[in-house]
Amino acid sequence: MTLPKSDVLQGTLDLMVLKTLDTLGSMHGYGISQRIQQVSEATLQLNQGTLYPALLRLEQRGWIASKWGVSDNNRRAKFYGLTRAGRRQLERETEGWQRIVDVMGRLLGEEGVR
Amino acid sequence: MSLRAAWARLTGALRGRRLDRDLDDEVSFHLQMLAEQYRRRGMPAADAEAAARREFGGVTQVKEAYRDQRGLPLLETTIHDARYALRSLRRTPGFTLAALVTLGLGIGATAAVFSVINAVFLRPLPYEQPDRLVQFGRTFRTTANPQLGHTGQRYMFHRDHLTSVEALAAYHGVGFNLATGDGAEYVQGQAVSKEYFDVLGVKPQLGQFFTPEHDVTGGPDVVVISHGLWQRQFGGNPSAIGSTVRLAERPHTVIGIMPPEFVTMTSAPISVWVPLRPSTLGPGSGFNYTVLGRLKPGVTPAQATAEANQVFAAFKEQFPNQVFETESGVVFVPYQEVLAASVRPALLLMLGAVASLLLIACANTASLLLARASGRGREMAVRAALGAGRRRLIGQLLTESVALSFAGAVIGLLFAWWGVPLLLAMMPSSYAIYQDVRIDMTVLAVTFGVALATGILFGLAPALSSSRADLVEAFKDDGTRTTSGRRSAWLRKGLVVGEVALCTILLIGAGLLVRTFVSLRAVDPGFDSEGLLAGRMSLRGERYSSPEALNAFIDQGLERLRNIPGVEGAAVVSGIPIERGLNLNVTVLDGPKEVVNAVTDWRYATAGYFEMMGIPILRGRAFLESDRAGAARVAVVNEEFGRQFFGEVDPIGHRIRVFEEDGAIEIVGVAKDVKEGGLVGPPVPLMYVPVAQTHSLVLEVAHSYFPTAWVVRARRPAPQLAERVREEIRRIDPQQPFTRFSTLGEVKALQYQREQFQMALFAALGGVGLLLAAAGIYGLVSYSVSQRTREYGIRIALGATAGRILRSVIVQGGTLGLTGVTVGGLVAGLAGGALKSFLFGVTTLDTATFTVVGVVLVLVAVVASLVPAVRAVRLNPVAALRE
Repeated sequence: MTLPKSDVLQGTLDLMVLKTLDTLGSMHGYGISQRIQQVSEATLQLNQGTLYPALLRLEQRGWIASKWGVSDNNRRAKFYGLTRAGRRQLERETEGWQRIVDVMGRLLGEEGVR
Repeated sequence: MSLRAAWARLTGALRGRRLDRDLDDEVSFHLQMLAEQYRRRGMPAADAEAAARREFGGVTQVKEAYRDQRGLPLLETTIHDARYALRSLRRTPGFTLAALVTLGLGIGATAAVFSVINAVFLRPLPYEQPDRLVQFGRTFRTTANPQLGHTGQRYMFHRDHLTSVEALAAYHGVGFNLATGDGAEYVQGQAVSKEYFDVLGVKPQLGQFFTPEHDVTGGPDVVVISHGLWQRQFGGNPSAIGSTVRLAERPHTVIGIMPPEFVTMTSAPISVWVPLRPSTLGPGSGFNYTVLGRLKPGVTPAQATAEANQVFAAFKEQFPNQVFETESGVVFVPYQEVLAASVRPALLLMLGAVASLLLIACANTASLLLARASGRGREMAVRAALGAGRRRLIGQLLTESVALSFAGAVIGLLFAWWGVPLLLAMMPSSYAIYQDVRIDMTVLAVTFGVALATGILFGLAPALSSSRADLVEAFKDDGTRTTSGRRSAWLRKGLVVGEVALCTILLIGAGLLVRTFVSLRAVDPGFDSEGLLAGRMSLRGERYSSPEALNAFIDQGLERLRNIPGVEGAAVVSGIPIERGLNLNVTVLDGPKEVVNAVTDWRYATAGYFEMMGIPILRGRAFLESDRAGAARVAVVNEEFGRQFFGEVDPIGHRIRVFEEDGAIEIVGVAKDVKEGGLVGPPVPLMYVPVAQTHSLVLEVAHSYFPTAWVVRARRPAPQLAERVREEIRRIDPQQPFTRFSTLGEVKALQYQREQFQMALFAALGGVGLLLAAAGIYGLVSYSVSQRTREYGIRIALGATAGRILRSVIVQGGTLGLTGVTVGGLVAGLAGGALKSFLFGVTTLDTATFTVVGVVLVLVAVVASLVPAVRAVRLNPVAALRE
């Protein structure tokens, strides 16, 4: 099943970006979007452009920081990295998701058993 | 939004362009990488780029979303709209100029009046914690206003028993001749109790203030001087402390100097302070002490009043015959409130007038905006078509009107800055405005607040009507005739009618005040005020306290004055008419009624006084030169004296007495009443005695509190004459200065100075309002004619005469005028009661005023319609039909 593009919530995009940066370290916008696509096995097809306002919002909140650098193929690109506050936020949100997943799992699991 | 995010947004708003460029770079990098990916898979370059773009999504939307995220969209929109507004205002200079002048006048007048209100009501008094200062008053069952004078007995009793005040001080004003190097100068002073300085919270610049040892009867003659006097007399030398100054011929030791920033809330600056020495004698025997207190922390005036009334109850028990029947108690009133009370009604009146002008200006500007808006139908439609919501359009239009309003406020402040000194100069001296009137931060803030409100007020209607643009209609023909046109036409008519109504109200007010002024001027003061000059001097002191010394001085002086060329007569009186005078207790010895210790006004005068002043002697005779010391004691009384103490019986021949120790005085003449204490009060009994026959006790009291006046009748210009008189008297006694000169005409005019000012203000505002209303009518009728050119063209082609066209247009303007006048007249009639306390000699529903104002306004409306009417008549029907 392919999720329609517009249904990816803002909050989940934030979490995906934070996790990506946590796992793979500093990356530029293109890289982040590629990684998200890769991991979701193309089930999530967001408009790649919507990433940029999201990145700005995360930066405004102090969870990521940006720096201009040079990419692998010698092009000028803006790199984003996780900050300490961002790592804390990532933990908090992961925890939150985990709780939801557990509850839903138990709920749906029970029904499944029945 | 967290603080960090808010800060980030703020910096983002400022660095907008840089961030946009960064995004461009990022996006192009991203697209390049995507395109490369597709090329690697074998797609041709052009297709790869197209595919990249598709995968990326709409670049423009991304940029928009980014822009909204990075900054403060509301602020940026407003700034953008403001810039656009200023540009578009520059493109229509005629409209802009008209609107700016209109708003400038309205807002400027408001700012000027507000700066006065600020100085009186809002700015805290220049003392330590001024909100804890309270004035002590006595309340009565019969009047609403408390009396502010106290006797020494009451003051001391309350001072000793009250606990809710930290300190309670008493004082009264007193004037002195201060000996200077080669002569003397009259200075204003205050006699204050030792608590005075603590109550006001002032510390001496040098030296000290009064101690309990100074403030008792028999204490040493000490004085605290003002900083200004210290500079003038001692050049700022610290050795002033301990040196002596001669006040009313008595040497006083200077013990302290006031700091330079200290001011008293009095109309004249105070130069010296002497100890009050509270007692039940002298000024303390009457209600002459002003009492001021400082509340203890946390105590409210109400609480202090409650306690004071308990103390008053105890006072009443102990001294029952010192309390009047009608007294109901005592009260503590915040000091600033007391100071403002006398001028509050007048200031509210001014505020009302100025607010009316501002509303007229708003209506005018709204009308102008509506006219302008009707030509922007297409612009609004284009904006709407491009996606602007109604709210965005309204926001843009309101930003425009507020920008216009702020610009008007700036111009208005310039008007106010120039006008405030003018206003102050014209204001009556009796308006108790003690603090500096200037345009300070508060005034600026309020002015821009008013500008904001004004901008929204006059911009709302046009914004609402413009943003309702019907897109389809707007793009038809020339786009200037939108369906909102009809609604806006009614709106404009309503606005113009409103303007005319407000103008009517202002002018009716002006008319009533004019009649008030005229009535007051026509009041007969009881004497002939033309060509009379009065020079006042303070005779307080040792030198002239004996009748012999006084009479010698006066005789010499009068002889010299009568020899001045051009002088037709000279006399001396202990208080000129209209101003306050001394009052004494009189007992009638052989009259028809029992009159013991009744209160009467009292004056001494020289022979020839009545003739010179033009006060008719109705019965008996005036004073003669033969009425000297040693001759039979005589007096002249006024009609009211006769009415009150003798009823129908003729007072002439009867005898009265003023003191126990004094002898009997025979009444030899009855003079016509003159106005005392103002032009509109009821007559009071008044007795005159020859100055040669006064008792020394009376002289001492009279000279301590009231100036004696030298009155001269001459056909010479007052300033020259005054100089001459001053010179002549100086030759006799250089230590005896005059305090001030004024003609009796000026003294009389002072009584209606308030009414004159109020009349002038209303007339000026009404005049400006009239111009604005006329402009409004002209604008609307003009517009209507231009809208209906085709119709007029047809009518002319079909044979309508010039007369009919003229009539048709003029009727439009006249109807607007008439409707406005009717509405305004009704409102003025209903609300007229508010003006009642300012009027004299005319009712609030004065037919003449209403009629004249109504006729004038309708005429003005007709005249304003004349130019458009003539234009309509001159239309070339062929050209008109072609339009």
